[in-house]
Amino acid sequence: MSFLELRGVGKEYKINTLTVEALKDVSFDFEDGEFAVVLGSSGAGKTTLLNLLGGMDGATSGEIILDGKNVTSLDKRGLTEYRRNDVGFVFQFYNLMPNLTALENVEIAVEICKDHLDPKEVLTEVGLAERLNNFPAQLSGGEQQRVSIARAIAKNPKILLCDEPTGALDYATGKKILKLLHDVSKQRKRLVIVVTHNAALKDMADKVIYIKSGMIEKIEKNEHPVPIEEIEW
Amino acid sequence: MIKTYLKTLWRMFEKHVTRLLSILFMVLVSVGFCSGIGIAPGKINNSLTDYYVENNVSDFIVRSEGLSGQDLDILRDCFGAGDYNAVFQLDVQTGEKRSVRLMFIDFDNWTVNVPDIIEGERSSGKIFAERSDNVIKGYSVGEEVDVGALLSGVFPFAIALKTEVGATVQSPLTFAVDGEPSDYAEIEGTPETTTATADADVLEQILYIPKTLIPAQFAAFIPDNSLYVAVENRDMFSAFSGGYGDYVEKKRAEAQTEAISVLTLYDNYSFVSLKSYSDKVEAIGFVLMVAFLLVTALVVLSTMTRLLDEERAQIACLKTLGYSSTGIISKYLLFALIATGIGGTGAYFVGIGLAYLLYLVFNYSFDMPPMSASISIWFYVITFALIVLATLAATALSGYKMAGERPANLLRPKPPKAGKKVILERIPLLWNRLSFKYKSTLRNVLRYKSRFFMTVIAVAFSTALVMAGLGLVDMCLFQDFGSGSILGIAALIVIFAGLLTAIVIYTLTNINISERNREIATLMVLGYHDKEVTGYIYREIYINSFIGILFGYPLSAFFMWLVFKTMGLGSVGAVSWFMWLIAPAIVLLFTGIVTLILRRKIVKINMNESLKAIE
Repeated sequence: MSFLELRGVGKEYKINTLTVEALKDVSFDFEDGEFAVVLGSSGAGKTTLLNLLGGMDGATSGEIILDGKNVTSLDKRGLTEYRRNDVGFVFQFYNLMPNLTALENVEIAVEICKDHLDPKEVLTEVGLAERLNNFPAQLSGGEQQRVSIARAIAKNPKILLCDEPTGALDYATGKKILKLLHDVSKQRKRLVIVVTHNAALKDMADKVIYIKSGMIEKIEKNEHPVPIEEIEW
Repeated sequence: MIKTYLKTLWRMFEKHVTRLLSILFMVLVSVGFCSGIGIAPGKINNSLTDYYVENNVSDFIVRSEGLSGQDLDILRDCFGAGDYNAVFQLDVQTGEKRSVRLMFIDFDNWTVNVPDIIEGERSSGKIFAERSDNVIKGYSVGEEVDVGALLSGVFPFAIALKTEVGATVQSPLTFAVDGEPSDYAEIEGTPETTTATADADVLEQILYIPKTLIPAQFAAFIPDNSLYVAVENRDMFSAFSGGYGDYVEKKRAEAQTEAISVLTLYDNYSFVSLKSYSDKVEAIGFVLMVAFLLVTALVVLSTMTRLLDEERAQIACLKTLGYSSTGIISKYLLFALIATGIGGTGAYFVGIGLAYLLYLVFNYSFDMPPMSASISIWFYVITFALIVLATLAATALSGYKMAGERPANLLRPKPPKAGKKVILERIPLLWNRLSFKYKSTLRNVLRYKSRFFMTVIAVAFSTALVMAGLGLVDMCLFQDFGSGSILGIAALIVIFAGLLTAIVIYTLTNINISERNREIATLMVLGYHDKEVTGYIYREIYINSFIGILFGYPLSAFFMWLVFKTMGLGSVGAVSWFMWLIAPAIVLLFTGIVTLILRRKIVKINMNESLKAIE
């Protein structure tokens, strides 16, 4: 059994009398320590998939099993516990608390976790040793995203979900952030899933899921991923 | 073009319906309170004036040992045309501090101070008795009265005069229910309490006896000693106008001699005490009005500012399409106008209702005359206009400021307010001891300075308003001051202040939550449970409320001092200690209820908010 398995996952939204099928029969699996990319254009169902993987919403059909735990069977409280202990989330717009310092932004996430890492060490690891006591407004976009990544790593989660992590960053900074995420995956042996519309990222992934109109278009496995430094877009 | 623009207008109302209601209700309560307090004294004055005119109240009461025909001629010259009733009037002491008033009057030509018959009817050979109240014992219709016995100590001979009460009546001169002082009791200034002037006897009965009942042989011993005068020109008559006061003083000075004393309405206990109450209501209202309006203006302004902030993207969009600033802003002005307009219109009826209640409350101390239909709307118009103007001006100001910016600036998201170290962090001994949660809360509290001050000021004033009302309640209930009227007025103040407080806290909390949607959604994604998320927001609200209450204490003391001074009773120091706990408890209770109500709003926030682009 794989580390993360999706079996026939579907999601329907009811808007008044209209039923929208955002995801249809999605099945794939990822292994621990993999660097995976979910690729799709806007409206393809990426966000829906992310919501389901992140325990922010429940599936209408199918099963999601992470490390032997059936996520689809969890109730509201169970989902909260799942987000708290098993998932690290990296947002496109960082979503740091503006009134907390970098260090405190990591602390606010870990103080509710059972088995977390030391916030200072993690921040040092992502290269922010000198910026611990700065507020988000005093940090560049790239630095803010590093805090956001540190916040996700420090929770010591089973998976790291990244929603367009470079979407709000310039080209060079974006690359550095992707390198950091890739390093996390490899050095910490963590499953990192990057959801993006940037097709260039497919070359750096161990596994790529192409998603279109709510369905899996194809699944690609890269035997020889290309380092991010060599990728251009 | 207009059609689509109107659509955006309609959608704005739909989207911001909670804000619309917040503004509406706040204006409803505060303008309602102000106009009610403003209308009540005018209504009392008008009703009393109508009543006085209807019953032809005496402008002057001339008293002397005996009035000769010559005296009468001189007085008629002085006062001019009008109704003159000459009577023999006597207060007879019947016990310690107790007297009975006997008034011998010509029933057939009774034209001044005509009493209203409450029960029974006028029938020859029978007398009228003043209706019972808290002090006057009263008689029942048909009861026998031995007038001769009452007069036994007055004359050196016995008069046989047994009669029967034909009707109980209400005289326009004696409608205070807590004791009418006996003759010649000096009323100095305004009575501090409704208990009649301490030195004077209190009338326990007032009897109106037809002169025809006096046996002919005694008539000479019962000369007319009082003349009730109602001057003819009633146009100028307004029991409360300054002009009337000057007029009667002038006439009094003309008519008064050594042997003749002249009393006016301003010597009438019922009139003076009702007038002083009505003046007090007006004065207290004026003090509290300022607070009501200030709090309302502050909170309405924050609501409109927040609304404009949320509409930033739309304003930018309309600007890039080439709409003029005025065109864009007019939409928000209309929103503000409609919200305050509906609230203010409703406030008219709240005001009338409150004035009606206050009028009823006065019945505890007075047998109030029928309520006059006329209403003085000045307070209503002025307070309503003030709120509308303040709201429109502030909306226009921040609206033009925003619309004046370049669209490019507007389209860029407004950077979230930067966090920074707060002053407390300079004291590491204290700061390091605080738990992480409280550090973040304290920074938040101080991050939005304007909102912080807004909340603190609004809560402080609300606490002080509630406290002012409670202080009065306390004086009435526990310190034995004053009467049911004051208690009623105090209760109404507490109710309105409480309502305002509840709406204010609701509105400010609501603004707080919508400002922090993104933070809340992020906390949820991080795996915070509902309780932990609400705690994060509510800690801040409770701290704000708490600081507001702290500032509310000195303000409460000041308000109470003003109110007590105005009422001429009580003192801040004498207020029971537990009242100082009840007012904040009420504010905290409202905060608690509001946070319970708004809990749903927080936990229903969609986590997808955290994924969206910053608006």
